[in-house]
Amino acid sequence: MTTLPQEGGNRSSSSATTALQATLRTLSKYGIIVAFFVLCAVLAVVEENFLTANNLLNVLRQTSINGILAIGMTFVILTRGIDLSVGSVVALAGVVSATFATMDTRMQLVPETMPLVAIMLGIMAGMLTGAINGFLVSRFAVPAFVVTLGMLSAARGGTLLWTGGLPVPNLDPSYRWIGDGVIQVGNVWMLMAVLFVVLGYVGIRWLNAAERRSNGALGASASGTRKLTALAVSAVVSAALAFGLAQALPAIGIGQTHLVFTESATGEEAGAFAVDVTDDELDFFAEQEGGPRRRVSVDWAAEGQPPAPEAIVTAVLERIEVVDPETVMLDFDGLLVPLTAVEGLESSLDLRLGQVGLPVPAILFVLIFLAAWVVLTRTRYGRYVYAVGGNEKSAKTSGINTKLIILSVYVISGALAAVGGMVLAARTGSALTQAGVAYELDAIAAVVIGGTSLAGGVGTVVGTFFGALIIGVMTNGLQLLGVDAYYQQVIKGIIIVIAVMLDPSRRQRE
Amino acid sequence: MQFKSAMMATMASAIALTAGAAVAQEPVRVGAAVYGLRAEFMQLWTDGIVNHPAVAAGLVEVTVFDGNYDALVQQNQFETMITEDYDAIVFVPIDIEAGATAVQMAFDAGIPVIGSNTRINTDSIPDVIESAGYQYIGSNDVLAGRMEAESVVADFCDDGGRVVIIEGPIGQSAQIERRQGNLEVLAECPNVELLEMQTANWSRAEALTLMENWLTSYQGDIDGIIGQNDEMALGAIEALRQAGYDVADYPIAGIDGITDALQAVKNGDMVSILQDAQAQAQGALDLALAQVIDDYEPMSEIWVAPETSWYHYGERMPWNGGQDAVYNVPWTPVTADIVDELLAARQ
Repeated sequence: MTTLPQEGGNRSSSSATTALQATLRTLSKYGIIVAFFVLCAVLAVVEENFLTANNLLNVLRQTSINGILAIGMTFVILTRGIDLSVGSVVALAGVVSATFATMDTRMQLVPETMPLVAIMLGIMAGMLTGAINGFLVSRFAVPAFVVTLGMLSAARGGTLLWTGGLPVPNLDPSYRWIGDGVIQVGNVWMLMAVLFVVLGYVGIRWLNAAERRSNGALGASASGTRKLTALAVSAVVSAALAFGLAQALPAIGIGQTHLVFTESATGEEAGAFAVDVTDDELDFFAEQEGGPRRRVSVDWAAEGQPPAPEAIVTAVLERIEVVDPETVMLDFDGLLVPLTAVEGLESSLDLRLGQVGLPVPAILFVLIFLAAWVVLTRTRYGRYVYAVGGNEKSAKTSGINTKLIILSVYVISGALAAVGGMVLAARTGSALTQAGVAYELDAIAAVVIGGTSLAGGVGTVVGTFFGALIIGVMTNGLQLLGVDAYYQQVIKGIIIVIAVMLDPSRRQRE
Repeated sequence: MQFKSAMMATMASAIALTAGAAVAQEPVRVGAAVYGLRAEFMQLWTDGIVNHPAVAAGLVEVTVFDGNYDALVQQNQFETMITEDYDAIVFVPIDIEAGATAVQMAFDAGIPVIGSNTRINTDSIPDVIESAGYQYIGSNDVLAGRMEAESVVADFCDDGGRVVIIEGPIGQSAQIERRQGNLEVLAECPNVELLEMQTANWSRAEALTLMENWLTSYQGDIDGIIGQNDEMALGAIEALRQAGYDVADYPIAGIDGITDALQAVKNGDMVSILQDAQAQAQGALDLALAQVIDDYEPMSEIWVAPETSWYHYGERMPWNGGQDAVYNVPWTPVTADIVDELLAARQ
């Protein structure tokens, strides 16, 4: 994996061989991503529930905490350091922020912004531990392994001191939103806008790179007309993709709600309406108490938002012949609502449809990943981080304040561990003192699987992102398959080592 | 309370936690070696032993040793207690198989050992145990496993249903015995199908992930959830809630009666079987004092008879002169009647 962005490569020969070489280089650079999709493909084949919207969102949600930790860990490892304290900081930040977030249950004078304040205080606790780590590593040249090992113990002790060993329960729903909240999937226009920005950006960069290749000038960029053309093409392509996806996504369950109808009293078959159940499912429904059930799917992804509950019920009533409305139950994946209780249905239905939204922890994970990617590849600070990890002495000689850079990466790691800790507390509903034990190992594993070298200076946050996803997908897949937990650990260990062995960029380096 | 318990933890982690006022008579010194103070249950246990009436009366000084979840650390602490010539030791081992050597050392030095919460496997030192009179006070995990499973399948034992079991770390005595109890009940309900039985290592976060994935596997078509402790049952509840299921539709049970679980019981989300940490701790101290002091009468309210409250065990756990080899602290299903009282006690 290349260290720094190297678009400025000065290669003027434009034969087919070079193009092929470039393609191969790109492929091997993204070996981890290929591995990720291969893993997903395998799981999709062997486990029917893997490739469903809910499960993919579950994976994102389950990966987010480790992913956030691993992104912070990437900064540290890039400087040839290590942060073993993140698991303990997870617990410390969790209890610190939860203590403040639950103050209103113990004290009567609390502003509404308390959860926000509590989150800030939690992050500050993480930054403080990170600053201590970074200070000791950078000023006193104590090995990072030793300093953060000390902090692993000290932060856990601090956690226990803070609460006296007891959990901090009863977190407020507004605080818990960062762990269990859901943001509705945007509509097709939003999807189009996002695709347009991404495609447009990539297109223009590609044009600039091509320009540089052809005339060999470092600062060259494509002409305005060509850029406009690229933008127009991006607009058309993203529109086509967005509408195409809106049609295709319901096929795998995104933007789809299942409604199951039960005819409890008559026992007669419900009237003819489109059902998308298999015979197996139908048999299963028939065995259930309360007579046969039928399932229909309402596709709403193309509409951009779920239809109002009344509209769903009306649409359904048009398609079945209801003998007696009193006997018809609507079943939203397990939530039974009498047809006659449509008025009270709204919140419950929203709850069900809300499942299709994006989990807040996953959004946090992706946002933090994007921010880290920008910082590491697009800023001077990022280049300094790589420089310090690559060769601290020459970085220092060239005027970089290496001590400050080293201090800062531990602060980043501490802050992100704190975010992970608060997401965990929000997800479990209580800040637990034993939370986060051994989380540092999964975070390091994600970084290493992602191709970052423990020797420093080499690696990408993109690799870490997919490294974390590989661990998450693996855990999820093995649990879906019902593999015994102890085999899961063995398999995880093997895959970590194999992933690193097979990493083509690593071979290239050697 | 926060700060008071924080202070207590400070001292506990600095190894020695001494309680009791100085009195004219030299107090008995009892060491309490517990496997670890990181989780709530052992915290409650410790609160129980240092608040024993005999401590307040200055009859005994209790020092709590934090074993840090390590059998070797516990063994070293036994060596310390022997060197320091403690009068008796209350022992909560990390595992049933992990304490025999330490107990033998104490017996060789003539110090009585009272087991609490977790037994030790006495197979390797039967003679020592026989002659030195090892006593044990704890709760029968097989019974707890039965009680929680019965509560989960109560509504569909005959008609059939699909349940999952979330287990503790495989091989730990509590997991082995609670599983035995779980499976005994399921065997009595042949129509009930056991869909999955996997470990979440007593952890709420692990159980949450496991349950999310099971909900995907079975499309929510699960009729009951047996968690071998409260933490894991709470993780399952969170998974259901966050996936949008109505928790009230699922019978869910856990064991221990930790504070969060009490709250969940109050909300009607689950059933919890209370393991009485105070009784296990105070009962053990009474047994230790009975071995050291002649004609000692137990001072903890747990022995009160006739029973006037659920934590006065009376005839359900008779004192019998402090001579029995095993005392079984009864389990108490947490009901609406006692949940408020329990929650108030935890404040």
